[in-house]
Amino acid sequence: MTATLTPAAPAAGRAKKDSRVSVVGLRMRRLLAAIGRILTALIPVFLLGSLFTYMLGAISGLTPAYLQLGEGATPAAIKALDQQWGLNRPFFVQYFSWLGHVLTGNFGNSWVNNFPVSQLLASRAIISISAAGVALLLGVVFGFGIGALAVRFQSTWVDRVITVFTSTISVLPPFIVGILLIDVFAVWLRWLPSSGFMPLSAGFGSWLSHIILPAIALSFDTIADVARQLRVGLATASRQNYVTGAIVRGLSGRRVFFVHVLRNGIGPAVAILGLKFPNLLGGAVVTEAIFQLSGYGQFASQSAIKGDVPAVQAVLVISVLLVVIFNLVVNVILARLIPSSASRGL
Amino acid sequence: MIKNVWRLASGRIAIAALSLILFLAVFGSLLSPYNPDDTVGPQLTGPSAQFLLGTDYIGRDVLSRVLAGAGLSVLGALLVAAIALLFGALPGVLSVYLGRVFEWVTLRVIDTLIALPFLVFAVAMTALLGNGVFQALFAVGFLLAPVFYRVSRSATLSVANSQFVEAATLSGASTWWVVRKHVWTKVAPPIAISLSTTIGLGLVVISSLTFLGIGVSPPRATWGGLLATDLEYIALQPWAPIVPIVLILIAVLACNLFADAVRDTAGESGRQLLSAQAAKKADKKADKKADKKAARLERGNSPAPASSVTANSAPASGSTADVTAPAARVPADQPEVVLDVRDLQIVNSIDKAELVEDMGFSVRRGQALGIVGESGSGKTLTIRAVLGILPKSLKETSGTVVILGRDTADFSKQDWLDIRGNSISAVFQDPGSYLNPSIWLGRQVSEVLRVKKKLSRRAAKAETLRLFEAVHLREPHLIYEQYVHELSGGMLQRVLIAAAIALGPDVLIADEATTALDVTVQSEILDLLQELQETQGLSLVVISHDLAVIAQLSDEVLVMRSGAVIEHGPARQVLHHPQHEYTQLLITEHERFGLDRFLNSDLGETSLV
Repeated sequence: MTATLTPAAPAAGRAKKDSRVSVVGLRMRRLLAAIGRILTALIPVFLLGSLFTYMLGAISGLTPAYLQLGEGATPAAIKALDQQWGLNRPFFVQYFSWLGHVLTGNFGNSWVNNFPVSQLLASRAIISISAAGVALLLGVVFGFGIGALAVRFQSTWVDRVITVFTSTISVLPPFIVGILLIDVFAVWLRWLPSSGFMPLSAGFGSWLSHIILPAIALSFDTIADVARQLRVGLATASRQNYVTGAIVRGLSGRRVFFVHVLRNGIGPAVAILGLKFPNLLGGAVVTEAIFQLSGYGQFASQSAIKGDVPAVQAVLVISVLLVVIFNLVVNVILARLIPSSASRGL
Repeated sequence: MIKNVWRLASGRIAIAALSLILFLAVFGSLLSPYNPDDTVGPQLTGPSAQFLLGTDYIGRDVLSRVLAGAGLSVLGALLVAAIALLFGALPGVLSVYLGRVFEWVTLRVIDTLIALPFLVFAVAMTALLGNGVFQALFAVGFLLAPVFYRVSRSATLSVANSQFVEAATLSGASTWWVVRKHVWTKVAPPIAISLSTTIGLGLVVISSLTFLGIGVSPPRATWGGLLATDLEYIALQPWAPIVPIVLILIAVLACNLFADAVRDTAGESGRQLLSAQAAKKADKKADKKADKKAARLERGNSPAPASSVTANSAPASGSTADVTAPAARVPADQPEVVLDVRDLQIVNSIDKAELVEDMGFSVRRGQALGIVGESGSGKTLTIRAVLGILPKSLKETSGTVVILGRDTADFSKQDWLDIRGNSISAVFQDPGSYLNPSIWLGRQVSEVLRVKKKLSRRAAKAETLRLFEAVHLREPHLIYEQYVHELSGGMLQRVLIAAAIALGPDVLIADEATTALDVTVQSEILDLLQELQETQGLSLVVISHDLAVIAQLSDEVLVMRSGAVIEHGPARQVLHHPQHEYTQLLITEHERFGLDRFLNSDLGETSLV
């Protein structure tokens, strides 16, 4: 019996130094693996997104000649203009040269007035970012708040009311919510302006009063999805075996919730933010039209109608870039929160 | 499928609403009182008998325009969904069959399409490609395709990999029959769900585009276009947007409601839901009672032989004094009883089924009790009751559990916190799942030491490393910083044991702790448990369906079946001279798989020590 007592010789006496080195190695390996996972998910998205964006311009068949020279242009003049814009080069040469410029912050010049698109966009971007940012904030605050309420009062009437509420607001499109908000808060109650934008420098109250309705219109979908994911995530996490394990080790319910359940349970809610962000950006096109904000969404649709290809491409590629950066942040947070979660990309 | 959806109240509402919207889309223009594009009255009048919804800014009849707009908006949504289905399903199905490269490329393209800010791209695509209805449908359909790619891909994968198709084909069924019978029932619901939600989404997107004047330009009537003009005159006619908004919302909500109804009624859970509903409807109380009685009788049948056996083992389980542990191991004055369970009964409070009855045993300091029985025999429920972690629906209806002389019946939350970890602890099957995947393994052990023993961070870490060495983990420093997914099952079980013994408990429960580990690792863990029992005076409760495990560790063995004890006594007696035929059966079964080794070597030795 005693003979069976000593299993595989313990390596207790092993040099501590070795162990330290391998601990550092472990951390490095893990970090590199996480970075690798995130980048292999995001880089193809950026490359394909930008390729798609550029192709859109190419297959549209639009040229600066169409915009600048009008109907009566001579073939020679068209050819000269194409050459001037570099449009006679092979497609992939054009694409990579454009991509290189984009990555250095040069988005090309508008076909309509030859102005650098980055200049045209700079002042507008702040409007769209204000709206999307406030909408994201609303989505996070109210999504987590409502979701937490649903979890706290799980399977009571509160939970059921929240479920009905979230599934209703999740299908309300921003442009309908926007019109209803104007109807109620601007026309009927006269509490808030129905249109326009004030920069932050004009005062926080003024800025907020102009941006809050568009932001609310944009945020509904995010609020609903964050709340639902939080509810499901926490409920799932609290059913896991490691919760039983922690309880059996004698940890209090409060500690088990805050240390063990919360961390794993909010993962899905954080992950859904990465998926919702494109909607917040894309929705700008409609909310800016409703609230007459001259942001980048309006710029995109007006440029697209005019056929100003470089301007449209700039907006599209910037939106792809923003999505990729935002998802990078989300993935880093997720990787820190739940190291085992293999990054599923976007 | 539709038939099932119709059986749900929400499904009927959805189908009715969708029929209404579809009717408006197809026959709307026939119902309209005026030509939607003609000026027929004064500008911007309110609702009247002549113009039910009033007139717009150039005196056109609003009702006629709403009805005319239905066609383009709704049919547009249907077409968008059809185009998305075509664009998505084709590469989705092919991605399973056309090889790795095609699969990888299409998957990346789909990832990218999902990440694009949808509406901006829809607007840009439509406008750049020529800004017409056709371009709008194409662009939106293309951008919505990823949903169908994923649905059709997973459906194809499940069919391609499923054995039932092969089995059915081998058994002589025609391929067409197999597809209809098995494949279609699996594939149809997810596609119907995606189609339904995509139609709703398509309506919203088409309306958004037409609201922006993209794809369709005025004067052609669309719901989105109507809303755009309504918004311009909203100060004068604040009620005007209501009608198009309500129509769009009805359509979108109905699409989602329909999708939910399909989801609820599809598959096995759906069948249960429907039959439960049918049962409710046919609420014949007498019937119900009879059913219940029958169910109880049925359930009563299985424990019946067990209860006859309880008599058999009654003297053994009745009092601890009767249970004489192997004489050779027990000193003259017997060690104290650390865990005492008597007459434990556990009942499912929902259907009143008795899951465990008349369960009783006691464990003395430094001893090991083995509980053996097939799965579902109530072993795990018993120890969950001992640990105070029974699921809410199960109730301890009678009996006592005494841990270190304290009856747990009237324990407060604080009492449980005091006793768990400190006096009694447990390790389980599938150790990885009992450790938090997101926290360093070492931290999970030191957490216990910091919280319960009030050790400093540093002292807790030092103690954790010492514990890791005690459970023979190599490189404790490294393991301290590792996560669950980075270690093997055997190592994780050692970590779990280290966490369980961190506070020096008196009793350690090992519930199937070596199941599913491979044989050499299993015996190493058993050795470790035995070592801890001897060096730390730990009392063990070892639960297993595997007699070999029980034989190696236990001084005393308890055999369970159908929630009752059927045999209980010293290990040698139970394993060598089983009284009950079920135990005899277990042992003869095991002899074939090498129980002999344990009976002859380990137990033989034990008696000699």
